[in-house]
Amino acid sequence: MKTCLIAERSHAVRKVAAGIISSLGLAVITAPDDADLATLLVQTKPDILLIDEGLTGLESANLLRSLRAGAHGRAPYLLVLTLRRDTASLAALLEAGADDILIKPFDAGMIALKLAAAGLVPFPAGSADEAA
Amino acid sequence: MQDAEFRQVADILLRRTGRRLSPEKAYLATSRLGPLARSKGLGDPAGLINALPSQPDAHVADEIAAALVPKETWFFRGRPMLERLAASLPARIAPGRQTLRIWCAGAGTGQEAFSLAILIGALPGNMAERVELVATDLSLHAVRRARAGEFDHFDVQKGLTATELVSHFRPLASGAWQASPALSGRIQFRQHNLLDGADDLGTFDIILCRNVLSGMTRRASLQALGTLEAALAPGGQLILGESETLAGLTGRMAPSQSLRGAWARVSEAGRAEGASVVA
Repeated sequence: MKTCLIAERSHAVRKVAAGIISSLGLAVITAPDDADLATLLVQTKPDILLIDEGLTGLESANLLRSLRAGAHGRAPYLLVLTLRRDTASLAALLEAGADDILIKPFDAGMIALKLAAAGLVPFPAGSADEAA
Repeated sequence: MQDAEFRQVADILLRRTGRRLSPEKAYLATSRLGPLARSKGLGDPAGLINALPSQPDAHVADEIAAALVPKETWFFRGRPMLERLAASLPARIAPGRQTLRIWCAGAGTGQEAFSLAILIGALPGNMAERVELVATDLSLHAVRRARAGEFDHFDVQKGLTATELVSHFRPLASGAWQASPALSGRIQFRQHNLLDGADDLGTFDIILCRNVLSGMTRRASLQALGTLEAALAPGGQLILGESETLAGLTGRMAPSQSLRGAWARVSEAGRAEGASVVA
């Protein structure tokens, strides 16, 4: 079973994301508020890291770079949560090593499709014909 | 909504889309026609139906029918199939050959066509210039939205990776995102109803008609299939939704040997990819 580590400050967002990701058949670990992310990564070796870009403020790009460089073991698939939507900021996150970005607010369909595009979960089947 | 009004809605839906609406789903007619009624200044769905002439013209009927058809879709729906299709194109666009024509039938607000346009734009050389992409939907409203290339925050994140998003769309002040002119420029969006034949669209080397036929009555799906077959160029391929099949519907088409997941005429199903474009 693949594992996803969620590092996000907001309890509400963490809970919603955890619910969505476990419904996709992944094991979820949520990082406590005071957790040292580097230690947690080494301990849990997740396949996916869902990380709030605001978590580390302006340091997020540096953190992504170090994760990508394997500073804390094999780099997980990096899915970055952000409130930013300007092209320059998004491009900077990708440049720094994000595999994909989830712009808040998000929903289950977005996460499922992003993880599927990365080959981490199966593609959702065409939804059943709902009406008519 | 009264029974008579519901029957009129169900009749329009059946005639224009080949889909049935059972009386238990009358609430759908009420909920989905509300926005259309308000946009026409007719108050509520009952007002919309009562304002119809006894023989509403096709455009009005199509707009009512379109409002009732499920439209859940997303970018790169069935991504593996779209990627296989795109990968098959270079071999089919041999030098000296004519333009390859692709039709997205039942394209809704355009997610499938924009996805294909992204893949086609990434083909080597000037191949993108030699692919003509036509996308049609019965809803003029959907076609206009597709032409504008605008998608809201949620739509744009369903199926597109962030890399695809920043490469091909720009954020608008409204909170929506708009496809780049380069991407939009690769697609011709047109209003068209599959049950009306497709003589004026010409013929196509590849037709995508995914998750459309399966919602139709058998009679209507045969009629729509007739439209698609007539529009399929010699050696052409038809792509349906992942869970859809032509088995039991026609013996004239069979799974294509050269493009997994596609259908081809039985007489041509075994042909090589390169033979499909006639110079």
